[in-house]
Amino acid sequence: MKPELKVDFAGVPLKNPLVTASGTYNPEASGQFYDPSILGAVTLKGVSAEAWQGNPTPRIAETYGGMLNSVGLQNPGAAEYLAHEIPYMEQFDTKVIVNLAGHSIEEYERVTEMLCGADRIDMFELNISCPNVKEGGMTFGTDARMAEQVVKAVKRITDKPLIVKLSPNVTDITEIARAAVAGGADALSLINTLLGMRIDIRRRQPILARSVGGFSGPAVKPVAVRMVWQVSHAVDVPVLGMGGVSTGEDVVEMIMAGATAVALGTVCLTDPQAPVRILGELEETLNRLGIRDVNEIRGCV
Amino acid sequence: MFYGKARLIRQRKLADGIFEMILDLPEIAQTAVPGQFVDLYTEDPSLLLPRPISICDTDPEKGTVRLIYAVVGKGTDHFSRLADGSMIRVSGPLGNGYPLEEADSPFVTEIYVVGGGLGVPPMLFLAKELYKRYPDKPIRIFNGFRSTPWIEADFEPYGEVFSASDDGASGFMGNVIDAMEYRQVMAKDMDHEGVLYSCGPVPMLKALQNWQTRYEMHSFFSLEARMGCGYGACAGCPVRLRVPGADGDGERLASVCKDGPVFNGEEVIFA
Repeated sequence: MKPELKVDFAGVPLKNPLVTASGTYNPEASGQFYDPSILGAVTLKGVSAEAWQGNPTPRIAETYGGMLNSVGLQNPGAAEYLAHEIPYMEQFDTKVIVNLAGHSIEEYERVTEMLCGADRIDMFELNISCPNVKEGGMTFGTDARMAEQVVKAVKRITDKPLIVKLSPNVTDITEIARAAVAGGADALSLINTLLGMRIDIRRRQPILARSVGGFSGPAVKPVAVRMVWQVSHAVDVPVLGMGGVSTGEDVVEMIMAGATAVALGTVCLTDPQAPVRILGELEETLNRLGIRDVNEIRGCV
Repeated sequence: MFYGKARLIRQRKLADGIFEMILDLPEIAQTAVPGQFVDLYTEDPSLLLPRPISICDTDPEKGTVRLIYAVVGKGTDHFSRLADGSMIRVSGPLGNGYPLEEADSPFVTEIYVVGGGLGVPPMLFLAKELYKRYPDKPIRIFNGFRSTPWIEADFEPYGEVFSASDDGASGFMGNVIDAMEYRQVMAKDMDHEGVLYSCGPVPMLKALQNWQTRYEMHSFFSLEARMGCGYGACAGCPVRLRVPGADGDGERLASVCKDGPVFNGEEVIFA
């Protein structure tokens, strides 16, 4: 028997808890490998009001159980999203989350204003946790007062449910979580990448052009599970759990830690059909454990 | 798009650090075009990202794909140790491929195929397909190596082959540009248009970009990049492209893996 996978995520019904994580899904590129309609939702890569060029290369480094990236939110800007990416999603039966990027409160407001009229967008995810941009990004996500302010500012502009994406690079993630909820966050997503670094020992230089970057992949999963567990017990908005999730069992682990929905990130880069595989594994795992409805186990730990 | 396990039919060493693989991959053998590449994956948790390898040749009837690659790090070292019969996770064909149709114009009377180092293997597939499509147009093939060539005779059915090596071990002593200059001087036949397809190290492509401006020649370069996902999802391998405008050139970013790896040679901005 097929287990029940439907979940309600901050008022948005998802056919299953699986979502793609920002920066690891591109509608056309990923569409070569799987139909996004199998997923509860997809997250479109972080977009800013104007186009961003991103960081110099190399932007990618490999490491045991994961990778580092310093892409720096390269994106073509909100107008381009309205003209191409968003209408392209019309053909798919899945919810669309758009990740919002900015350097300042004004820039976050501006990109929200530009996109909030698009009906195809079901939710926004406010990126206050990117470790790869100089201003904005993580500076909002590591300061409770600033986090609350930026969330408040964006909530004033849009009625769409707002997910706030949290950085793990803080002393107490629950403090930032509470601040985001106080600002009006409808949901929280975590974790963004951990700040990391790798060195080329032959050249005696960092591998990444920007020296440091965001560490992701299966190696970070225990950190993510711990933080999802802490945050979901600290606030009463739903959590989109992510960080190293690579198998159906990992999804179950995240849900038991308290996540309502679970995002697949790096695994989509290292196994382009991962969403198909993981959905199958999730059903199989739930059956094996005798769980008939995925909602039964949420936060059971 | 194929994504799955493929059987390694045969692997052999061509030279120090250079290996050739024949893979049983009918889906890719029947659909790939010259200039496209495949991603090879390891199952080692310290090597999670795929390695892009250009397609050297295909045999659609036998359903095989031939790859030639160099051991440049842990991932390619891992592949070089795989025994015949091993199964390898592969995706492909990836990328755009060379625009063969650019040689359609009746004014194009010569086709240049220029490869350097690990940029030579994909030029074989290209030369073969160009020859099939334009049997009457002369194809001039320039291959540059550091020393003794590890692939050469395979090109001979498809055109006039000029090999160059840095140490003069074989063919022309010097780089491919030197060999091309020599060939131009000897032939004195520059009163017509040519199309140039190339793949090789950045210094070679930069030099070609300079060289081509002196001749009536359209060029197409296949770029190499440190990639993340290899299929256009992660924005890990950007290239800057020149966008000609009325008040000066602008710039745009493209993904080497998805929008390329082949770009109009005049547009590429080398860092």
